[in-house]
Amino acid sequence: MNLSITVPSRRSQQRRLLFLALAMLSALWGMTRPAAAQMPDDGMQWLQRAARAAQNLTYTGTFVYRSGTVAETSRITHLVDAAGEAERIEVLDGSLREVVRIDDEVKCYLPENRTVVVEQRSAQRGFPARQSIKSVNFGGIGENYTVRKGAPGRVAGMESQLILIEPRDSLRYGQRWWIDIQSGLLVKAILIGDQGEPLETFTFSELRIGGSVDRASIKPSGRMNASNWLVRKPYAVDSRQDDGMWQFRTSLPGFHKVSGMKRQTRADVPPGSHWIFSDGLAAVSVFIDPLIVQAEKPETGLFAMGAVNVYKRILGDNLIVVMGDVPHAALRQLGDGIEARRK
Amino acid sequence: MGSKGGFGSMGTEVSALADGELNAHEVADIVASLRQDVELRVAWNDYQMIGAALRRETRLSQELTARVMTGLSLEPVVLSPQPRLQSKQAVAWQRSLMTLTTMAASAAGVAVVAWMAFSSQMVNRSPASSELAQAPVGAANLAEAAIKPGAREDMREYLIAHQAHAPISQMPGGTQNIRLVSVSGGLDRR
Repeated sequence: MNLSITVPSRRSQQRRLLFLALAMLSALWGMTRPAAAQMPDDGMQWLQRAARAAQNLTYTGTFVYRSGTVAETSRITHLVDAAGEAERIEVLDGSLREVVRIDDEVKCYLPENRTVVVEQRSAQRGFPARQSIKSVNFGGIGENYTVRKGAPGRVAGMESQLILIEPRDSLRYGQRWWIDIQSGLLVKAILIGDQGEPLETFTFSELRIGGSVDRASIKPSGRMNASNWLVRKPYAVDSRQDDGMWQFRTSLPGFHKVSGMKRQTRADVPPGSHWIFSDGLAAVSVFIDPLIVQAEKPETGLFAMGAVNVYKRILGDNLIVVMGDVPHAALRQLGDGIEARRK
Repeated sequence: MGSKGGFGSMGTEVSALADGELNAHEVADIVASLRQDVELRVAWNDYQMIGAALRRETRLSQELTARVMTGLSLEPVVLSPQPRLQSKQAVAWQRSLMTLTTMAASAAGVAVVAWMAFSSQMVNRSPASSELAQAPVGAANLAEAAIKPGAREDMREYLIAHQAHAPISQMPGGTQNIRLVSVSGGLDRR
């Protein structure tokens, strides 16, 4: 009987060992690859996801908004259907107030003043433009903030992912966002001041995502009968091109001009200018309006409206108002550099 | 809360602190955490606010504000050395108490300033000074800072224009639009 036993050669053994090692390395690489690929932009991807979810999802909920020690509970209804995007916010505490946004038109109902303020957001105006909203551009955030994942947590009974957004300099504030892991919706946000103090907090206490929402629920409540109210609808036209009247001698690092418009709020006063600068997250508005001759001289200096800071100064016969959710020093830096261009 | 994932045990301790249920060394621990963790401070504020709401303390009186501010401006700075306490426990307790007192004073100051910001809708934080950091904020400054009613409507419209046209990438999910009415309207009465 011829029994033959095949003994693996030394080279064959080496090949098998090499194959095994390669297989293990491959498996290891396969396991680590997704995390490694996501790590650099992981926080940014969460921000993108939150922005998309906020625009694409239909949801209703109750949230608490707090600025300083004042807190208010509001009800939000946001729907997206074939007709477009619509949103209604109804303040449940204190005086009645509502905001209704249908696509690019925002209406603020202020019953105490019997006033409805209407702002039309142009399709071309603003950043990101409406047509590109589906892929919201967070350009500039990476240069101006560090964005990283924090610990998971629970908000309004939902598992959420904390995203830490920290400023790279003192010209902007930090933020913390909690994003619902399942839907991607922002369920809690804190704006953090330069001393680490919370400036503004937004937290859902109850949230229902999806389901059918009737368009009728977007209409302002019957108590907002604005038939005999004062309607304030400023006339605004895009004016991205510099009209040559003003020059900005100082700029805010990381902020770029994203829109410009001519605005007229009163028929008897010439139009003023409104520019918006953004660093990808925070926004600063600059208004330059001619002073009303008969009116009292406006106060100037540094102000705060909740988490929005304001810097006002007078330049010749014009009032300059610089405002945004950035530190006062940033507003001054931009506002003090504005000069009338010599003709 | 937050970095611990929800309110969690630290949140419970903050709640216990608010209720005065902790002993001295527990107070020291949680106060140290409060100093480092902004979310815990948010929780602390929440508990204080809930407590105030339960006690129906919905607003601070302007007289109290004026008294606090006047008191702060008139408070002399004591430079004499403090007497040394003998026991370690007493020292630890004193430190905890001092930290808490400092926090309470800060919180009161913030509360007062924030309340004034909302009650007058817009507060001139430093009307005449160009140096934010060095400007002493005393009773006189804040009293002078109250904005004239005529200017409110103007600033409201500026704020609405800013919020309505600001980039949509700002705080999605309704936070942008809530400023339109929460900050710009309806808070005059507070």
